[in-house]
Amino acid sequence: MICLRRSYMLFCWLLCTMPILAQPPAATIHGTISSAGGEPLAGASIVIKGTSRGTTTGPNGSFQLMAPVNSTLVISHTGYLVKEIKIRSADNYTLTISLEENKNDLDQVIVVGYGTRRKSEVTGAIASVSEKSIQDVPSANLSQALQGQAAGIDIQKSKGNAHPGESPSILIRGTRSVKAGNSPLFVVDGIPFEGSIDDIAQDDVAAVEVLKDASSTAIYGSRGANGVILVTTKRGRDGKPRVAYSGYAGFTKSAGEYPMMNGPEYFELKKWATYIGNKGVYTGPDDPKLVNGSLIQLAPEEREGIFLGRSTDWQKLVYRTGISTDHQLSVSGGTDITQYSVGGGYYQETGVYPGQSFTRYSLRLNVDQRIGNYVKVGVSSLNTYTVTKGESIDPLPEALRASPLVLPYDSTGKLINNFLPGSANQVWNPLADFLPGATVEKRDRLGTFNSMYVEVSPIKGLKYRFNGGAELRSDIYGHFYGANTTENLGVSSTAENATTETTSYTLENMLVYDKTIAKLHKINFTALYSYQKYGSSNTTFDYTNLLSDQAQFYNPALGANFQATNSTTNNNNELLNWVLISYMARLNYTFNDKYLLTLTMRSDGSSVLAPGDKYHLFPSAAAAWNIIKEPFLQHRGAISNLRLRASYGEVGNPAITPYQTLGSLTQQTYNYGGTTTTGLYPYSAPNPNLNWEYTATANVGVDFGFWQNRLSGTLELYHSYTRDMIMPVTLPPTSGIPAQILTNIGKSENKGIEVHIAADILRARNSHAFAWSMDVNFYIDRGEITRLLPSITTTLDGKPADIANKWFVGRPIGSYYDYIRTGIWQATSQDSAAAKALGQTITGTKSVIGQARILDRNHNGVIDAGDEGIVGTPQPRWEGGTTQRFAYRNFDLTVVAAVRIGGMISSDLFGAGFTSTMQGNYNNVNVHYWTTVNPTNRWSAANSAQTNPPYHSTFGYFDGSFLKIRSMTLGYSVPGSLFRGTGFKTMRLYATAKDPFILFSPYRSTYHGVDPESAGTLNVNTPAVWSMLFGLNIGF
Amino acid sequence: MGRQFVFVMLLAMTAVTGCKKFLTEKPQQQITAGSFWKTNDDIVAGIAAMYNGVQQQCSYNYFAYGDGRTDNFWVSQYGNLAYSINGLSNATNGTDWAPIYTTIERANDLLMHVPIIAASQEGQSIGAKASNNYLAQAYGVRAFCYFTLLRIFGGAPVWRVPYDSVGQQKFIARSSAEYLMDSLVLPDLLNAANLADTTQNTVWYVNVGGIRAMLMDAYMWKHDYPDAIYWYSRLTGTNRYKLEPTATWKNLFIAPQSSAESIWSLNWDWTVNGGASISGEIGAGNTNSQWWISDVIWSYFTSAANAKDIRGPQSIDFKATNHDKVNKFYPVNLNAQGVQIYPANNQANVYFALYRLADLLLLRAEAANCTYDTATAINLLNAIHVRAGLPAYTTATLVDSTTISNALLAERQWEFFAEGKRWYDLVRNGVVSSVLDPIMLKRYPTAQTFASDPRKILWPVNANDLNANPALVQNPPY
Repeated sequence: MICLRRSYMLFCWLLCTMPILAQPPAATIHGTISSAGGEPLAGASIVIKGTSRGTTTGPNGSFQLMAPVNSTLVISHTGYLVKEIKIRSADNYTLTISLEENKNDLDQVIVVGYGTRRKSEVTGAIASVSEKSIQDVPSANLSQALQGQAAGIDIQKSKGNAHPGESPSILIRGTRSVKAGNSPLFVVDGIPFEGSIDDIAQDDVAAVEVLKDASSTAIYGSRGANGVILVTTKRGRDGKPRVAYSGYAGFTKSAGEYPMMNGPEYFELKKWATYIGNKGVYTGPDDPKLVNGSLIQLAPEEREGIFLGRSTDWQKLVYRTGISTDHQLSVSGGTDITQYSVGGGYYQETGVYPGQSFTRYSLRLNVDQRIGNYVKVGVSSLNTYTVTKGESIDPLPEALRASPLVLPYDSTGKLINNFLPGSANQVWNPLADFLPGATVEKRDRLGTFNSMYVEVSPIKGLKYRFNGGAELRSDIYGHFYGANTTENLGVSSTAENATTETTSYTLENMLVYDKTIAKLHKINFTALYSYQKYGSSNTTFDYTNLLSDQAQFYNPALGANFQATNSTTNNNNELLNWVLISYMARLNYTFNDKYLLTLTMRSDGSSVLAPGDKYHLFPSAAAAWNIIKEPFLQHRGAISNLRLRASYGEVGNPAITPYQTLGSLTQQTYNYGGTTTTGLYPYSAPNPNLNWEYTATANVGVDFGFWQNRLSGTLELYHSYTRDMIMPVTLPPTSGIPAQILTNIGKSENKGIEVHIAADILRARNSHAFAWSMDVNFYIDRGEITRLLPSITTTLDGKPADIANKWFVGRPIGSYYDYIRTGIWQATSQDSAAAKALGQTITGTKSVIGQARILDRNHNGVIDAGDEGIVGTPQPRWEGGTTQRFAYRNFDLTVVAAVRIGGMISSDLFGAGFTSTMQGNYNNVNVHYWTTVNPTNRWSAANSAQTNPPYHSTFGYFDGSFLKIRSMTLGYSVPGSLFRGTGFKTMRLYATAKDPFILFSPYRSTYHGVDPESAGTLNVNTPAVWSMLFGLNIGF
Repeated sequence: MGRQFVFVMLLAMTAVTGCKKFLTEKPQQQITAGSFWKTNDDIVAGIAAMYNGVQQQCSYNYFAYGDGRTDNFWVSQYGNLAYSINGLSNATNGTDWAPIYTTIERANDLLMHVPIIAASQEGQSIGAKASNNYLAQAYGVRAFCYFTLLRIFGGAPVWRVPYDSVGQQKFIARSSAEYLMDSLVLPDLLNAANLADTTQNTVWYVNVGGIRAMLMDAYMWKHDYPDAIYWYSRLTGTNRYKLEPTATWKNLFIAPQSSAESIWSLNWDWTVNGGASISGEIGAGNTNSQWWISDVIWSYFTSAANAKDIRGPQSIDFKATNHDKVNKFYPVNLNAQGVQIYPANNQANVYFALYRLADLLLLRAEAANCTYDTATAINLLNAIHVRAGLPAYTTATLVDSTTISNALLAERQWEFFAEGKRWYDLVRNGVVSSVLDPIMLKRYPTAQTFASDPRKILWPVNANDLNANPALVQNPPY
């Protein structure tokens, strides 16, 4: 063999050198090889193409090699795409090579619940998001970074609020519960994570796996129904210490202004409103009697504004440019018996209003230590301290209502610290919120999440592992709003203090047994016993009329009217403890790597459930068939992977809060004329039947790959059935119990399709060539309620309908139920006759002409409550995301996009509140409203005689489609020659535009809304923002 | 190695033991049904909650039931016209039973738990006298609730035990008004009369006087005059009550605890419970009233002949030009222009005079008149009439029992104006249609008369109550 190879090499060498025999043949090459994230790769192989000559990298990723000119180096490493680099001259080279991760590598190991599996062995539906993808969008927290990155994971800003530190809402495979939450379970390094996802810095995360089907979530039993997100933090590897720094800084701006009227437009609206609201008094909106007379709520300052042509842009005065800063430093390394990874970070983001910011300090430590041959121990510790300022401060509602005809300053140039002229003296100067000390809101969160394990492998194949986790959090909140702020509108100053302490600890004992029998039968058995205890206590109190504003919320003794109530959650001070005890067993069986079977059973016992009914079983089964291993598919050229998977199982949603089964009394004070006594009376009745919600899911998946997996992907189909959905039942009033009773009675279903495709469209043959790869995912989820309370007798389109709660059989949860606006009643004789026939007023100031025309859906000849119907649903037709990566020479370009098509949004800007009253007393959203000269069918007329247009909410529904470019990053890897001698090994500079474009959004393009992305009603709130960031990654 | 492994396993196993205990978590911040009802303090808290229930059920409805539909008031443009035009629906304010049954639940809780606590080790110090008086109050309040129900709605479901588990039978059909009266209200009141501590006389509690007054009221409703007269004698037999003098008549409403005429009044403290809703119905400083004072009352009190009646200016604000302010329940509080200043709706304290001697005295007169004892009837009537500053009636004007009956009704209308009595007087005397129909038709020509369908004297049951309990049947014709 050796002889043969030598002679072959010699032959090659002869071939190569023959034409250029006269020249010196070789160059000495020094280099380092790292991952795209800058982590040096030890053990990577470098081979001169066409030869067996080569070397491997050392612990710090460096290598040295002699290679002939014009030869090609082939660089490979498990889990990474192979790269080729051509040697062009005989100069001594220093090469810095980064390898792209090969996401399609079937030998790649991914984390599953309580263990790891090779990708080729996975039987459930699991979406993996790599470290690189997590880094693609620089974000305040992990959930923002995950948007658009995996099929079936719907991440949206909650109520459209974009304040710094906001955590978006996450739905995995849609909404399935009406009363219980729909948020997934987070598991960090194997331990259920009870904290806020805000507390995890993007840079500390090595990988995220999303468990979607019942087979993969069944091991989380009662907490698995909404999906599970497994977060793995970075751990150390063998090798010399590796230091990495990454940081960026940049600015944030609002993504647009809410479309409000300017001065002249507002004046015009007032004229029309007054004209229409005083029927028969004026000849028209420009009647001099009207213009110079009593225009609705026109202050002298506004008349002056009209005269001067004033047009105050209140939003421009409120918004400012925010600043984002991020610094992350990590050190990792180790030997074959000890590995460590330490990281520290600082992140700060200031918002587009003064007073809003989010700051996080983080410290992470991971250590793995081998003790002897059988024992391994490790710890990991994630510590964060975050400060969120101004999370609910919002001067915008007032800024949008404020008259553009007046100034925020009085005649002496002083800021008005009071109501503004006009608008019935009801609008307070939004800029007064920003006076020093006027509004202060601060939330300090300190969290420490620690886990440790001991792993003992006494005999081959058997492993015992103990996991212990402890999580401690404190959350200290305080706010103070002065009397003359937009929060209090001159009434009195208010303040609140709240303290929450949360503890959670988890103990797990796990046995794993691996055995291969007769080379064909592989068995992997896992057994688990776990105990988790959670405790949370909260103290909240509100008070008003502070003696000194200067004390803010630091000296409650200066306040009055104390209330031990949480104004945001409306809860009394509370203490919540629960315990979950679980037993789990899982069997993985593989035959000849072709046929795979996974059986999982978990039993959960919970302190929350009533005595005698505390334990429930969660079974699941999954099978997979590696078709590619079948002889008939071997050597079939193009097809490089084909697998079929199927699973079925049932998991739970822990839906109910502690003590809910017990019944409670509540207090009420009574005064017997001088003697005040606290009375107690029954508020809710004991409810021992209350139980969890259960979701059974059937899932079929196909994994495929073509051309050595240059094109690969996954297709999933699922159908899930949720039963025992909690619904509230009102007790007969004769019971004397005021609280509703929760019963497990409803049902819902979700079905969907998820597709994920990864393609290396252009693979770089060498370091100078152009490379292009992409990830695309798209998914469809269709949910519907299938059963309501049997006592519901009302129907909609023949199916049971709970009108009060807006729950409808056959419709998705959250469907919009309202009157159906077909247009605007026009000033024509036909319309007048038609309106009159429907019992509408067509004369006087309450005339419907110019107002919403509502469909007489039930054809009973009048417009009544029976005409309400389904207007739409927030459920999109389809959603998706894509990541496009381009590389050319030292440049790389990454574009991440998220898309959501179809699905309705309900916008408060147009359909509720004070921005669209059309009354003319507040500034209004700038719509092309109906007038006698503009007979539009879209917007109602202005009318000073009504506080809101009739059927106001029908104007607030919009198509919520959008395609959002989440980030565009242009990076440049600085050639090593430029920083030789600095000690740095890699250096990359980049610029990122974050959320630069919102495309294909009718809400934005046609109606000039800011951003349609919103889980729940789109409130008028901190507007969407975009940022420009400049960053640097250094490895040394 | 093997030994170490066994050791670790043993450690692990220790964490597995004691599961049952692990899964028991007790709420510390909230009081559960299971942890309550142990001590005297718990009874005191339960009693306070029960009176709070009475207060809440009276807050709006006491006026709506007793005055809202009568000729004392007309609905203003800010109220629900249904009350004035005999057009109640199953959604009208006041039709919901929840406030009344909430109080019944609290009384039932006491009736169940007080004897158990009194018999327990911890409860021995309470003593039979105190525990009996607790029970008397619970019986008294429960009777008050059912008495209201049967008079306003006719039949209603009977709940004698607290609802303490969701598994309990909750769909109970209505029992008849007669059954409620004979099997619940009267037995409860008789029990209460036996158990009440006769030394207790604070007006804010349903003391022995309140119980005897209610017994008389209930027997009058049954037209059982001998029993009514008996309980009136038991009431006056306490030697506790006498009519408030003319000069201090107003004290009955602004300081009932200081008046010997007060039997049972409800205290109100807006700083503790918020304002009394009745203020928004007939006179608050910050909002327009939902009812106007009717012309019947206005013209009576403003006529020159009745200028001497001291009750007019102390009941009605004649300066309120839109006739919508009742000042009866507020101390005089004039501004610089001499105009009464009313408290805001959410800061109004109104002490409901549930029972006062004048009420029972006039009922006694009614009983006398119905038992052909006209001399007593006129005598008692004059006690009130004269106190009001008016000349006494003589047999010259009150010639027969009909004229006496009319004079009694009128006297009650003036004396108890806005005190929630008028409607019951009209129903008890069977004159709803004859009194109200002509007045109603004069003002609202299209209103449906009581004569056309006397069943509409009863109120409808709220739709929510019907929906929540399939065993319930609506009052026809609603």
